[in-house]
Amino acid sequence: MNRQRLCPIVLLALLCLAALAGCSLLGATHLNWHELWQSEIFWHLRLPRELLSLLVGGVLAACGTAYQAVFRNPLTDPYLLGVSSGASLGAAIAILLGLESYIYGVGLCALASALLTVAIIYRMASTGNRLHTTTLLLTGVCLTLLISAAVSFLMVMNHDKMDRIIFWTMGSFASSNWTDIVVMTPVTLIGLSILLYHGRNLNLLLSGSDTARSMGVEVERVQKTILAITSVMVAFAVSVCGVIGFVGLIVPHAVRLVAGADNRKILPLAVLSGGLFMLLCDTLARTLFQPSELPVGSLTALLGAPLFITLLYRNRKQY
Amino acid sequence: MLALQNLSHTYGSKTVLSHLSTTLEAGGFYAVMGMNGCGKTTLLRCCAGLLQPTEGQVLLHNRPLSDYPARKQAQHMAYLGQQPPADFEFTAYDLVMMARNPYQRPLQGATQKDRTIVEQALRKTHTWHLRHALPKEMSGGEQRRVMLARTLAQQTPLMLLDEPLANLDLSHQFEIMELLRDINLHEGKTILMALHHIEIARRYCPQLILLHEGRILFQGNTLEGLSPARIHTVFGINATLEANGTLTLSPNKRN
Repeated sequence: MNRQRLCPIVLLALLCLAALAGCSLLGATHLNWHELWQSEIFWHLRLPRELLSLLVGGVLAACGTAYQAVFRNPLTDPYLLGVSSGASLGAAIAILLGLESYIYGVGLCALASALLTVAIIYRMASTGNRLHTTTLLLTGVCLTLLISAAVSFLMVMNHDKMDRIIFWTMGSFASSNWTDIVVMTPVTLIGLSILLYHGRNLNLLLSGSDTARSMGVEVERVQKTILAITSVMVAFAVSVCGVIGFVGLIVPHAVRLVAGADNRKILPLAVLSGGLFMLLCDTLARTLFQPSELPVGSLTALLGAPLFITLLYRNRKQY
Repeated sequence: MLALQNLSHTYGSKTVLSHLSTTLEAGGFYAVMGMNGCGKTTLLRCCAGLLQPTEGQVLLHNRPLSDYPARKQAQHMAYLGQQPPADFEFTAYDLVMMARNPYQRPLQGATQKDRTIVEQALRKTHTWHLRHALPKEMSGGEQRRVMLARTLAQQTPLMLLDEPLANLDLSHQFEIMELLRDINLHEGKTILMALHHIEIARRYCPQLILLHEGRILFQGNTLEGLSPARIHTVFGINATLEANGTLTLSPNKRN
């Protein structure tokens, strides 16, 4: 990797580290540098939470980048194939059944339900070995709407637990712990390695499936691999922190505006930018209105939208 | 090199190609001609493995094309389709560099050899000055030449070109044809190209595959194949062959 490509990656990585350290000092209990290393709050609450937000932000941004290349559509986001609605349904059922008191009761239900939903959508959009991406998109959108309706129905029928379901669907890192990190780290590392391995294939897929195939890409195999791995990554992310919108849709575009179209360049930058953005949003979510917390999903949109519109406005000639 | 065996293709109930059988010899320069909708693109796409024929098969070096992994196939044949380049922000240089994919390992960057080949391809198609330009900053003809550069940079023994002269001005049409003839004669590449220009086909392409209503009406020497009678049958226009070999075309008068 040449220096020109490595520089922004190193710079962003350093920024992430600096943000990680800086954000650790903030919160209901203010810590200073000397207290930080001995503080239980830092080791057991803030550090796992911050690391998880970095991981989830990175995963969502990377998956959004990959989806936009596979579908050749700038409007696709990682929740397109029903992961968010599937997970929400699983979480709602778990909350209604009172599984919140069990460790990972809600998370496991959300993960299982998300993966099941994606599997159903894949099955419906496949004939033999062929995957029809348009059918996949439309099935994803329809099933998402159907499941969202079912979740709304469950909430209306169970008023007393509505606020907990709503809070879960808007995403939060409040209950993060080291086990979440242990679960998310291998998923993130394996998933990102596979996506980076396919970086050049993603570029070729952007040129159209005919061009990609005639230049040596096994188009359907690559599409299936990428969609399967990203679905698993996003399902895991949703299971640990709920549905956090906007990051997977906008961060890849913001990076593309600055770094060009090459997915081999964009992927690492999107991972770091997505992680950094999520970390900053979560820090604001937990510190702005102490002691209560904002749902981080609403902050990602509130902060991300103006930021992205500014970028878009400054680069409007290119877009 | 490439053989079509009893090849048929249908879209829904419409049969576009019907039981075609032919062989392309290595080193040949073939023009595929016929009216719009006669199956030229379908034929090229079947040859490139982008369409699965409804019936029959395509053999590459006596092996079914479907047996070739995409990467291996891409080292044997390059395909230039009709679609414009990607909307995303790739420069001409990046687009042409993509053609080196079949020779690169997944995480490997471009080698010096790749860069030399890409530069040569861009220079041959007179698009080196456009190397930093995005497709949306180019004219249709410039985009076409960049796409042709990409096909050249793939460095395959067989090139399948679907209307490579589309959108090109007259001067560039001749330049590209001179280039293709040069590649065919001196590098021994086999070329199969769909085109509409009878004069250009007569001048540059020694072999002709004339398609009519989904079948091969003629295959052989281009000058022989593009006779006034066949031109009238296929294109519905009048042609007169002068004693000096010049072909004069004139439209049918419509009532």
